[in-house]
Amino acid sequence: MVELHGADSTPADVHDASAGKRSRIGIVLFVAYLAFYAGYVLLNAFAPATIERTQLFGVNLAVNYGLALIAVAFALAVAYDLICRSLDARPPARTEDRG
Amino acid sequence: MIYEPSLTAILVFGLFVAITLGLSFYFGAKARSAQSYFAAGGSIHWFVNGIAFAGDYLSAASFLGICGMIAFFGYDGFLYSIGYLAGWIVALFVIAEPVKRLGRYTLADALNSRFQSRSIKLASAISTLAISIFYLIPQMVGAGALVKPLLGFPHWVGVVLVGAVVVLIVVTAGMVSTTYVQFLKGSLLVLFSVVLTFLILNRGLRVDPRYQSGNREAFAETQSMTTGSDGKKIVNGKPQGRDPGEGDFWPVGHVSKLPDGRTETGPLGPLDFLQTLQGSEIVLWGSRKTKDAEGRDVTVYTQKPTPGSEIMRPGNSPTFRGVRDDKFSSKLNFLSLMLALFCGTASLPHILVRYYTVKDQASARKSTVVGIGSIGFFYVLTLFLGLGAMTSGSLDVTNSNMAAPLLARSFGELLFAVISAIAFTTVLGTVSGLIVAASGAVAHDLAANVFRMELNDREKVRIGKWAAVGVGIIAIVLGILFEKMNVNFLVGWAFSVAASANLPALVMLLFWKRTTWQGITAAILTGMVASLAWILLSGDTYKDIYGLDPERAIVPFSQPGIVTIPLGFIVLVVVSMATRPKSR
Repeated sequence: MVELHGADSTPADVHDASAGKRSRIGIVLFVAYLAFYAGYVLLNAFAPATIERTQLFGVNLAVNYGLALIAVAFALAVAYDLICRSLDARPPARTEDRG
Repeated sequence: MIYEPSLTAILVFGLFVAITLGLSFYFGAKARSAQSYFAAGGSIHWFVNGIAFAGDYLSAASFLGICGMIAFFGYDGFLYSIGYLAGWIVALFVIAEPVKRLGRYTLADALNSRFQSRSIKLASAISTLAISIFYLIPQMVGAGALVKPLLGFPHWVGVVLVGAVVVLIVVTAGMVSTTYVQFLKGSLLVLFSVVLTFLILNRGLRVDPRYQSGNREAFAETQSMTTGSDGKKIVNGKPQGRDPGEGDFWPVGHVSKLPDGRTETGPLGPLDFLQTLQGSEIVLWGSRKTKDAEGRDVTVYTQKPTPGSEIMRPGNSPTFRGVRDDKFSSKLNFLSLMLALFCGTASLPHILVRYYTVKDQASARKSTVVGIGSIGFFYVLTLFLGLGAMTSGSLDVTNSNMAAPLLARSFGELLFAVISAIAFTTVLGTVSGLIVAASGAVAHDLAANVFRMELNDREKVRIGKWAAVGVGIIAIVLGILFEKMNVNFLVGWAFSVAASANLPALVMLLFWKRTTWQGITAAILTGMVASLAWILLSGDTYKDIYGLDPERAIVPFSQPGIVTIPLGFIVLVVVSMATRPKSR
């Protein structure tokens, strides 16, 4: 394959003191949700009878787990936004230039 | 089933189109620069962008397809809701802020931010165009399928109508008008889904009088359709029609038994509704194709009284039946689909370009949170809409896509007209987003960067507008040609190709410093080609497209994601290692 140099003009990374922290928190929350989602998918695939029979609030686990996945997604999204806002609001302790 | 065209539906839809076109012409006067045309000048408020995410993302497949699937098969439709929603977590926690930080107009900007490579631009533009067109076809086919029963026009009129309106919206003001169309559509969709859900819960559940008092004969009634070689249809023994001596399908979707021998529940709360339905018995319908003595095609529809506990479990639909059999390949097929849904959302070009319409990373993040809230809320409502349709006594046994509009009709003609008009606007919102993404790929990535055309701002916008017209015409033609094709199939293609082609490149660019431009280019092309090839060689394609025995398919299961997404990552790592600069 031949490299084709072009005249691209995308902006360079802007200096953003809390970007690294936000990214790390995002990854932690992502992994937590991924585990929750994987549990749901694996239960559906390999134990459909279990999630049909297990009851919670008079409704089976399949429905409860599905609704919980939606609720937890929103709760994590709001929590992440609040954390990021507080990070962004903090004055930088020392100016770091990581190039 | 024959539907009476609704004049109110036509008027409501016409009003919506007039409003959106009016907005487009108003904004069109302001959208002269490339930044304004392709990215709304980065001036959209994060809340508007968040709702526009919902308007962009909740396509006809989400609204009509999921409601229909739940109405016909129960819980399985909800699996799609979960997969589609969970994908937004990838968008929020991994993709949103970096994509906003690194890009300007298109996905290729972000992928190319470290490299200045024309190869990346070319590969990314090809994948954007391919994904957009795969996604456009089902939207256009859906428009055609809706227009016939709702407005009384033939299929091609629906496709041309939607195509023409969308091209006009995009050409006048690009991303600005597209954003407001999507905002309007997202708001209306969620609002009227809430109204419908409230009405469903207020109506409660009721045993249909025909099934009361243990009348077992009612369960034996069947429906049938015979299609002659001349295309004429005989329904339930009579020529299909509304005139004397003609016949039509009767509406279905009834409760045959409620818990504790009750015949009616009265208004129910959301949890009560789910509990009661799980303890009830519902009459679902199955179908079987055969031939009569004269060799004509006959489809026989039979009743299947089904306990609610079985309806609220996975594995009732043909798509997800595999979770209940013992074949490991069936399980892998399910896992692969759920992986593609999870990874596909954050890789769809028309979703990613929305991040360039807000002013900064914080707005990108906040708009994603609003998007997750509105989309997640809508998907919770789909469960009630689908189950409400299942028990509404108004379903068309031959067409699951009509479940939501017919549910609305069970509450009155006005609501039917509004929901039908919203179904059309659903198509408008998603199609306009796809066309903006595709036109950006042509004007910004291909023309300006790959072919090195010297373009000023105005020329770039002009090429973008011509590209929008071109993609619109392609979408119209394909929407007419693919009339008979299973549209969900194509949405699956788009998600799998997007996840396989774009996600490995995006993720590795952000998290692996040794990524090279060759690795990214190879990963995009490999992911796209491998996922497409896998789909074309799969059992579903053999059966639905080629009309061949699915057992003869070359690949062991139909959904490619579980193979082709990791393949994209592996190719990227191997090629990046092989092409790493040797000295500094």
